[in-house]
Amino acid sequence: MTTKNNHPKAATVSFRQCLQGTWADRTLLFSLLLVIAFLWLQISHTLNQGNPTAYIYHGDTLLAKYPLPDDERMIHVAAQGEIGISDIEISKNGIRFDSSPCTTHHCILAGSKRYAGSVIACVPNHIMVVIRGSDKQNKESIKFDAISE
Amino acid sequence: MIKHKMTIPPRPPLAVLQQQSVWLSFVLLAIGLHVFEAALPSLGPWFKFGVANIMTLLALMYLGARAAFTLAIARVIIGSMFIGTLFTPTFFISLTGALSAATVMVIFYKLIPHISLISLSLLAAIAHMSGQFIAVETWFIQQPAIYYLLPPLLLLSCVSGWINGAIASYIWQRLKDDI
Repeated sequence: MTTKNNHPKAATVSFRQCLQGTWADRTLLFSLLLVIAFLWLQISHTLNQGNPTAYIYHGDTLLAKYPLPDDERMIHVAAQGEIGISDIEISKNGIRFDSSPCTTHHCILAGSKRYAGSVIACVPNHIMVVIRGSDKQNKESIKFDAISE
Repeated sequence: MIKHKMTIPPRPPLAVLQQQSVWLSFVLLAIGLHVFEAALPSLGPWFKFGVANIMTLLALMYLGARAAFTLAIARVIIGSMFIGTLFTPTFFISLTGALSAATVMVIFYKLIPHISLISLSLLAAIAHMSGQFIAVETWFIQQPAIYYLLPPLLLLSCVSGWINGAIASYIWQRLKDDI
């Protein structure tokens, strides 16, 4: 059978040799890692501004926005999505999906998130929660208030 | 009584039949890998290892661009039937990812004749993940904030792309003279 590829034939090699790749592969990997690291830094920098706040979206609509509580308070938000209501719990430990009408329950299994840039999305129900702002900046601002008093 | 004359269509050449059988065996393997991966415990929401892309890569090398595209579409559609996700959001996200990966593979394969399978797989893995995020942002959650998740998942895609490329390269080295 004639194959359609134009690539040169090489001697049979072991899997370990295949895993090492060529210098071109390593250069490509290094370049990709650099781009990803740069993207990640940019996103972290954008997100770390302000107090930690949870944003709850349905599609392109912002349903609710809550600062993460410092005390033992627990806020429950019923977010109406495409296929039903997702119950979202906000506490000092972070934000998590308590219940969801989706079948996969990836959103519930994602657990609790509290750091800036954390995202939990329930794609079937079109609901997404995002945390923006950092604890570090929050603490620094509290310290500054104390000094100014 | 009218007698219908039976006309037997001409038999396709053996080379064509062989190509079709190789394509079919690749599709079956890809479906098997797709279903197997769905049954495995997830490494986290949004991330899968993408082992079925190995078969798309091999189809591209053995049979060409058209075979790679049809394989990617067939394995997502038939695989989704087995998993029970046909026409759900998961299906559309998966199809977009598979098509993005196949498109990038074909473009770079045609543009750079001596590109290695690891490089192709790396680029395909990045395209797969990015394509899925674009699909989610376009059809399901119209919030750019969804891209906050992208960088860590792209890092994992690099790892999975490299390993899948190495596996594809190993299989290619072993089988290229036999098929």
